[in-house]
Amino acid sequence: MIAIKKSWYILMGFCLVILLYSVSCKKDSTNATPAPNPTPSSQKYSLSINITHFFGDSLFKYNTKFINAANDTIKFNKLAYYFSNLKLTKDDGSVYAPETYFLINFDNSSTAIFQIDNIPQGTYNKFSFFVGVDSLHNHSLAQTGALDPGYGMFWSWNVGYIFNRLKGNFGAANTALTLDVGGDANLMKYDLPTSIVLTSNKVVNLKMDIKEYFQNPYAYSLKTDDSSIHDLSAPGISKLVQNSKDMFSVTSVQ
Amino acid sequence: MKNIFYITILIFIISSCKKDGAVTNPSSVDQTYTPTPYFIQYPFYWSYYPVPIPTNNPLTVEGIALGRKLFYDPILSQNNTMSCATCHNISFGFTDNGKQFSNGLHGEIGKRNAMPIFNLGWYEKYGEINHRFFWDGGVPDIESQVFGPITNPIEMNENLFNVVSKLKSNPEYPSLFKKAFGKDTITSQLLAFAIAQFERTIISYGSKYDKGILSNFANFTQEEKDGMSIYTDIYKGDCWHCHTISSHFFTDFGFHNNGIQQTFSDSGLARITRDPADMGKFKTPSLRNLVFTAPYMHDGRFKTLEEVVEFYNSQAYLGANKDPFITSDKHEAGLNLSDYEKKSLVTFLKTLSDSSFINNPQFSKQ
Repeated sequence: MIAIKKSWYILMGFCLVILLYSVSCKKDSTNATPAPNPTPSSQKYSLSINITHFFGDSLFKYNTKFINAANDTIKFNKLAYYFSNLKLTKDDGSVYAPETYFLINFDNSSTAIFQIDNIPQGTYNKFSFFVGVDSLHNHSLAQTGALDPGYGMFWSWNVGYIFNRLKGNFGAANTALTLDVGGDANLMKYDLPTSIVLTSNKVVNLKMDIKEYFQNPYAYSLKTDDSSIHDLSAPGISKLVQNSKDMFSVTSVQ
Repeated sequence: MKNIFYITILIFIISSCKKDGAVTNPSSVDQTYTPTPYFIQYPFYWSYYPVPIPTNNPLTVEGIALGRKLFYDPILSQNNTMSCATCHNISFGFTDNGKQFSNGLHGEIGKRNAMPIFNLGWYEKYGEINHRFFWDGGVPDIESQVFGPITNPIEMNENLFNVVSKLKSNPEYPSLFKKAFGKDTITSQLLAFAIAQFERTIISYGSKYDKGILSNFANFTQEEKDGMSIYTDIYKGDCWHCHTISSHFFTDFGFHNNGIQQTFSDSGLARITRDPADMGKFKTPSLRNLVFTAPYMHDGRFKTLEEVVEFYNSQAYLGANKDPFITSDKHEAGLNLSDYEKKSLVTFLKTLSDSSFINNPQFSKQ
């Protein structure tokens, strides 16, 4: 009888231990649940974006003569712009849209290469992005990374970022040229059809054609349109922004 | 035996939770440094108008102290000779020493009168979104305002990356930034955060008028009381529609064309909004501390309060975009105030001066 009673106590004791263990360590045991085996759809890859700059069929260069549709001879000495808010869309409409801001400055390199990591595997048929800074980020300058005002791509007297900056000289008299375009209404949006089969890390090669900024639909003439744009008052801005729609194209995905 | 058994259970339970215990036990946590929170004090009549503090830049004792040091430090200018305080002198209500226009680093002359700095935080709540600071509303928040004067070629003419590198190589600033923000870094963002924190604490509510609120203006002379009546009488001064008295801020935080320009040599708010209806509109300045902030108007054209009152009395231009309270029928022939009414109005305006503010040791150079 005593022996039975003792083993009964031991049994109850073990039950208690197990019960208390399971209660007291609930958090631990949850953490200990093994992660589900990665399924193919949760694989992630990186995408490198490689932008090559052209003026028409020629590679864009500083201090080199180019001729636009309105027959202005231009020598550039500055090209800088914000590439932002990349969005990749699958056929089923699902999107991958990381918050991305890159400042492309031609001073530093003739081609812009940057990488976006952790993109879910899949086939993406639309490659969208903006040249500029969205209105949520365009009304405060105390920001970091590419939006650090130290890069000087902003207007302090009318707070906002300069989306696209082109400078140089044009014409026989080497007249100074400044085309600083910004303003919420002038965000330049691109939806480029493509096919990115992301089953491994890929590179998207983009072409930016600066000649297109000066044509289609408006043959932008530096002689008669604005050649010195420093704020939103210049009527030329709207022509440039409308022209900008054809400025980018996907040349290949590899 | 039984005791040993129970102890074993106890040890088992405790040891099984070691990981949990380690997480919750404060002594073993790698405590991250937190700066000391700071709360702005302001009088009961502004408790209806709580001042907004941006969630990404909360006020801290260390941040405010850093901002104050930066505000008075010429390290922010290109040749290390000019600080924010050069043109925003506390003795003049944080305006530029009685000057009409300010001089830049190399003597260049600006186009508008330096604005005072006090009670700025409320503009971020009641001002027009994206148009809160500067005479023309070109700046939406105090943080962004910091960059304009530093980088403007006719003001401090400095590159922000240069400022950051000067601060990084300074013997004091790296540890002060670390204390203020808990990070081993200095960026233009943190520079703006610190100065904005300091500026948000610059509050003025110690005038004779403020004391009068508490005593039903028993502390006012008869002339001051008469002046306040002129101020609030829609058939007399009618000042309060823009320079709001009910809130005790003496500004509606808005933009108006008060008829000061016959032709819009300075387009004001329209320069920012591109809206022709905004031509000639400028921010309504608070009338607090007027005695210290002469000269007056966006272009500092009036040297005295008497000139300002006479302008509204008889000289406002009536034309495009004039504010309705300037162009209404009763005003078209001017206010027609008597000499005593004009004098008493000025006397009342002087009760808005807060000498404890311009002498506040929390706001002055350390």
